[in-house]
Amino acid sequence: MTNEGALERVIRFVMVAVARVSAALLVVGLGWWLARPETVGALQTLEAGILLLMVVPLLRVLQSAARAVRLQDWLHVGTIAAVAALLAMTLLYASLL
Amino acid sequence: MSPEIIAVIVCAGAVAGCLGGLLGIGGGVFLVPFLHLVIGLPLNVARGIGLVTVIGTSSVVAADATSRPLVNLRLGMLLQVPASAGALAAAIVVARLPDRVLYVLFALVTFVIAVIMLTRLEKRNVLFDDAAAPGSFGGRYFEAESGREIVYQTHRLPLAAVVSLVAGYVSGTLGIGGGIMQVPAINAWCGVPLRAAAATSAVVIGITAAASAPIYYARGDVLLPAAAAAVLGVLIGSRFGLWFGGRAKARWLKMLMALILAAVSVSFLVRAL
Repeated sequence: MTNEGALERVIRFVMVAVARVSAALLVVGLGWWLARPETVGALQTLEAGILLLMVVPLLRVLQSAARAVRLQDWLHVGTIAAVAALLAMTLLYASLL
Repeated sequence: MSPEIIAVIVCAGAVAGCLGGLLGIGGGVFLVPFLHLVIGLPLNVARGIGLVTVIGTSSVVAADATSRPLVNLRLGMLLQVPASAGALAAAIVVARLPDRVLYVLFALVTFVIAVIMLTRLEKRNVLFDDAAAPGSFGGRYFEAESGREIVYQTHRLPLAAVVSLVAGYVSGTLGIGGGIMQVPAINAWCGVPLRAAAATSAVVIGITAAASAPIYYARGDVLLPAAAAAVLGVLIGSRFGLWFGGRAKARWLKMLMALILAAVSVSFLVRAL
């Protein structure tokens, strides 16, 4: 088992932090929405929580890329680049809707 | 949407997350039928929420250190290329498919996977030679159940790539984790032990879901309060599923998965007729 590099550790830290902030926003937003369903702020908080959650898999891809580059595993780098390109296409298509 | 319904969705999310974490399939396959058939949400909304919860389950597994030796990220990312392509294609075309077609597709997919799991109850797919080489896409990990190091090699990778493409398409179409197809397929046909297949799948299905979830979100198919309730339930349940998954016997995991899939298949078939 190869040790984790510094960049991977940083990305993992950010990934865990983003997931936790997302969960906290969902808890706060849901509680707020249940108390005052008509409040715009509650829905905005929920929206922020859901969007942050969707960022987590992207960070996972980034972390894998950092690991593959450190290990000079170029086949792995290539597959990760292909996955990243497909995710970029998804975001582009979604932004056009 | 009443507080009672929100509470029910949190509980359903917890159950789905537990099963998802346990079996590495994301939980969407249980939650989407529940949200649509029991809560009465439109199928497109249930699918959008299902995808978001798959990302939630996957995030928990990816952050959990105990599952790392089981995760074969090299194999997972390789299969993620066709899976993401399938999910993206599905999210683009799914709005044009009628619900009845989706019901039949759901019933068919879950039934086939249930049969595959039941026919593979005794198959272990492992090499008990510690010195054996796992090859480029194989792996090794310590298994508490047998008390020894497990080494496995992968076979039929082109077949796994085709299954992953279909799994990604099914994921994007039905709003479920692609693991429902990937886990049995790479276990049964590619020689990856069930626990390693489930752990690997649980990490990468979040990426598959991320290839279609933003499109559902942009279409307005993610109902925020219901999605938040489902995700919070899933985050709680998947931690328990992950803990239990390391202790349960593989045979029982396969039987549980097959039974649940058969029940889901029947419920959608009834709905389609």
